Amino acid sequence: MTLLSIRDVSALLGGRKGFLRRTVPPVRAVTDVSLDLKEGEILSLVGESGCGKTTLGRTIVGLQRESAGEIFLDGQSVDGLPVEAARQVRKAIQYVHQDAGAALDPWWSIGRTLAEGLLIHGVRNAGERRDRVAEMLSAVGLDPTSGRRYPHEFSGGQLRRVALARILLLQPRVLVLDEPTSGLDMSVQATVLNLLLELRERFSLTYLFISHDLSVVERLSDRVAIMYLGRIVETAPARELFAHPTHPYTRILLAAAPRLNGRRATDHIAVRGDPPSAAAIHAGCAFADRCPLVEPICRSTVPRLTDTALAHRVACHVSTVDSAAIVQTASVGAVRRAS
Amino acid sequence: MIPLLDVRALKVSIRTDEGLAQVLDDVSLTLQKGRILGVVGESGCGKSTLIRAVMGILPRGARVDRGEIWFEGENLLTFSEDELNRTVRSSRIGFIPQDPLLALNPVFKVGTQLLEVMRWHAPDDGTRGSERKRRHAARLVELLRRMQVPDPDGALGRFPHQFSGGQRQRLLIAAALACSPRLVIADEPTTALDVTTQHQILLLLRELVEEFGISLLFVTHDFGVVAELCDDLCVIYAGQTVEAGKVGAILDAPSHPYTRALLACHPDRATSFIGIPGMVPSPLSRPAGCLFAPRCRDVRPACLEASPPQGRARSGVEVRCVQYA
Repeated sequence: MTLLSIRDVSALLGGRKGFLRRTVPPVRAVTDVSLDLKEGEILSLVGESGCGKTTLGRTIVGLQRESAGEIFLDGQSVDGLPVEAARQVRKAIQYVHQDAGAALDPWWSIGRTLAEGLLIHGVRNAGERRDRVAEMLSAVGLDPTSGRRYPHEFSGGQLRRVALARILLLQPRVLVLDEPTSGLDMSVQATVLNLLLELRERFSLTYLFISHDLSVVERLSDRVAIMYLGRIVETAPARELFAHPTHPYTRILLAAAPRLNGRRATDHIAVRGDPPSAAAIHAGCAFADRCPLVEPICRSTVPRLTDTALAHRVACHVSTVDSAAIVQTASVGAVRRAS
Repeated sequence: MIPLLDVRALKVSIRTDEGLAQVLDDVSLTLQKGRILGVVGESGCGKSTLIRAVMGILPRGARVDRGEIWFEGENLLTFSEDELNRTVRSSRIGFIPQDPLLALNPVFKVGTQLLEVMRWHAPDDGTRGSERKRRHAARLVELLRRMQVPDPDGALGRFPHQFSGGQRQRLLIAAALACSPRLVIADEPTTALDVTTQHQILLLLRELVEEFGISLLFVTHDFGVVAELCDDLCVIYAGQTVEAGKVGAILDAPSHPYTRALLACHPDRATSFIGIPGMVPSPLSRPAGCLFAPRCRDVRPACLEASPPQGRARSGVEVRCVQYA
């Protein structure tokens, strides 16, 4: 069953009106994005920095107002609202910050921070608040008495647990997890991922998992959406996407990610240039400037997401026609010598 | 063959308010000419202290208790600060930092900063004054062209914020190579970068090692990067080398229980995300015996008594574990 559905959502960031100052047009961070989140699934949103994945996450939660498009939660329309009102009707969607340490008040004990969320959501009885905080702390694998401690007394992995406990107290149904394991050591990352899977079972959660770590994404997700400059360029079930990446950008991304067991021999393709800025988007396909397969049509027309296989959708004029060509176009050797 | 860099049983402690921290306990590593050695460890294992010890920039309060750092046949620990500045830093050992934005001063032009490095450390070629400076600038432009920095002629006149993250890292790689060092130390140079940019930088580093005849000491926590770039690998745990050998041999069949546990956490390998129970021991209070014993699945009585000696696995990899003693 579809829990959350967004249709053609766009979001603008910044910009300023010119009165005695230069007018700065807003940056189009998210453009015409449509996504469906089914109950209980993990959908990963993958892209490089500046591609709009965090903005899309914030827009879904309601921390950032969408400039166009529709958002449905449980079939009910929840779009077109100012930020305050949007947070009210979208309480079931909660956002887990990337930097758990920065999201906690260093002067407040963990218990007080966690209880504040409950107070705001109308739990008046202090005893009940205390009990629920202790219960949630042990649910995320922390000592129930650690509510007396302060953020600086926790390690990075423990802070992620605190951040999760704080959000779960509000009984959400959808979590937007913004790079939940970035900056963690590998052994700690593993325990945090394990916890996320456990909590999903226990509290029947649905995850929108924002990440750029393809190893984690492949292991964790049911479905994957690849973003480039504010648009979704490819979406498919995880297994299908990693087995048959189709969009040239997806192929380049998969080929560039360092993998433990070595990259696939056929996929050495070089990408030109740096990740672009959303402030300078030109006509046509946003990836055209860096694409090894670029055709004249790519410079004039924005490709639409179209089905290539069951549940596999790609926005590309070229690669859907002849996806094998890409490997031959630009072939570069492996980084490591064959020694 | 005499290795280019040979760190032997290095032990470094740092005085802190809470007591004496044993940051490095027994680190040994060997880097042969023309090779890329990856140093892998989790945060707090002593990677940064190791780099700082080699470059002679240990923090205040730090002391080398034991060990030797042999570089091109000389023990760097016997060098004075002045000798290190004149004959080692930048001129023979280059450094690529982790965060290219932090390493560049935002208020000075890139050229000013890179030329400063060459002014102090470039070998004397007989030229003086403006002639010397002109030659340095020409070499930098040449290097920037090789690093594929766009518009290399104009790059020296621009400020750091006018470059993207990947380009800034290329500027710093050029700076590290400016004085033709024999060894380049890179401290997680790609962690701040996107994957496509990271891939470009790794390809570039691999090419530079062959082209410039340098050796690379590459510090990272990412086994994926190691698998892709490095020839040799040295795994560090709590200030000790626990496993060292060829990358392929270690990744195919890790011997030390710590390496095995760490690789089992990698999403590409993990069957389930269990992690490693327990914590890295604090450098302030370290257990007797094997430092990994409290977290080890194969712990034996002998592990708790004495620190295990260096042994060797069948693959030729050096392992610090009683199972291989």
